Amino acid sequence: MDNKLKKKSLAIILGLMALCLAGIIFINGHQKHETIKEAMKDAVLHEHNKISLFGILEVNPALASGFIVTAVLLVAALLIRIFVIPKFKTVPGKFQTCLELAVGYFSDLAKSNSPHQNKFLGAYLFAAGVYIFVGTCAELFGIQLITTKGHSMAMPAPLADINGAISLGVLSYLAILSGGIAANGIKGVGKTLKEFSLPISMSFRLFGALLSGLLVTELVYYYFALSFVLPVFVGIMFTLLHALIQAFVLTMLTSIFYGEVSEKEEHEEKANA
Amino acid sequence: MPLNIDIQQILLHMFNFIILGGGLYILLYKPVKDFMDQREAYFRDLEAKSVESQAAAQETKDNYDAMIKDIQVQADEIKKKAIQEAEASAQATVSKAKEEADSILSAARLNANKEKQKALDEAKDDITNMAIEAVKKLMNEKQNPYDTFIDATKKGM
Repeated sequence: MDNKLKKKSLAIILGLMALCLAGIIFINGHQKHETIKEAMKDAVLHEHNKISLFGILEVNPALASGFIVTAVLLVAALLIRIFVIPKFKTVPGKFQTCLELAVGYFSDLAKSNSPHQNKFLGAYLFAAGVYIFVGTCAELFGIQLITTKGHSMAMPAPLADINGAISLGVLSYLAILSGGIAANGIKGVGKTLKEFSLPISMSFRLFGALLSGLLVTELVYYYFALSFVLPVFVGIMFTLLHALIQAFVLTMLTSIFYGEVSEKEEHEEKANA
Repeated sequence: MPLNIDIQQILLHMFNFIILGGGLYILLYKPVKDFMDQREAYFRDLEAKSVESQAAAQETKDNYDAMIKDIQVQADEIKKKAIQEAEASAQATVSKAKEEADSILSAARLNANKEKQKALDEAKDDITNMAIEAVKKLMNEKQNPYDTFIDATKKGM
């Protein structure tokens, strides 16, 4: 690129930035239907903003997000199954490598933490990891949902809702329990019940982590002046990192506990030997 | 409930996740995992075959090495035998040649002795004849020395 072109590009970027700043300063912002306190409280408790689920039920926006994310993921998976997987090659291309990396990562995580029994665990970890990551990243797109009161709101992460976080925490605990039962029967149940605080800790860790990202994003978007440039960094810091870290933490914890409870008793092995 | 926890919504979240988990397992996880396992099995087979072929090649090499060793031993034995035979043959030839040389030498000595004896005999005869001649000459002293010289010269020519 020659110097003239560089100068022109720089001038255009600076001009756009100046226009944005002028807009920020001179525009007073749109009419808010709620204060920042109400918005933050509602982001945590979802007392006011509800979404109508097919006109049958009024639910939290995160549940609607969950259904949307699930639908998008299933459609994407179906398209990949029909158009991509049949064309898989022994020496993989870029997209095939990405898919194999994702599947291989969760499969290896299951194998390394639970070497004796890991088929179901690998599939569960894959689903949970993909759901947490994609669900949290969905927040970045700012898809608008219409509340029952007629207001529009950005689609939150499905797990930023306490109900979503509890459901995944409990499901993870049930998955661990199933591993214990499959490997050790009643003893496996006992082993799993010893970790009775696990569903609570898992749920609230997930909820707290994702909620913090949501609150910061909510705060930033609440003020019109902060809606320029800053969300790029905030989005990356609080959404992408949370998506990755929480997907990693939940799957890692689940696999470790699953491996622990599904481990065969030593004396049983000796008796078998 | 505190924190707006709603059992119905928790169950709906679970229902949603179970559908997602099942769908992802059938559509994505299982096919990709199966493909990866098949490829792993293919390469494992390939590796096993390669190891097998390598082992077979090693066995063949060992066999050939053993054969070469045997052949080397046999060759050494043949060489040793040949050397022994050659040495024996040379020894025999040398002995034979020595014998021949000895016989030739003894024959030559015999001939030489015979020749010597013959020469001695002839010399004896000549001396005898010369003595006779000398006696005859002494007995014919009347003869002129000049004539005698002339006669002797003629005889010599």
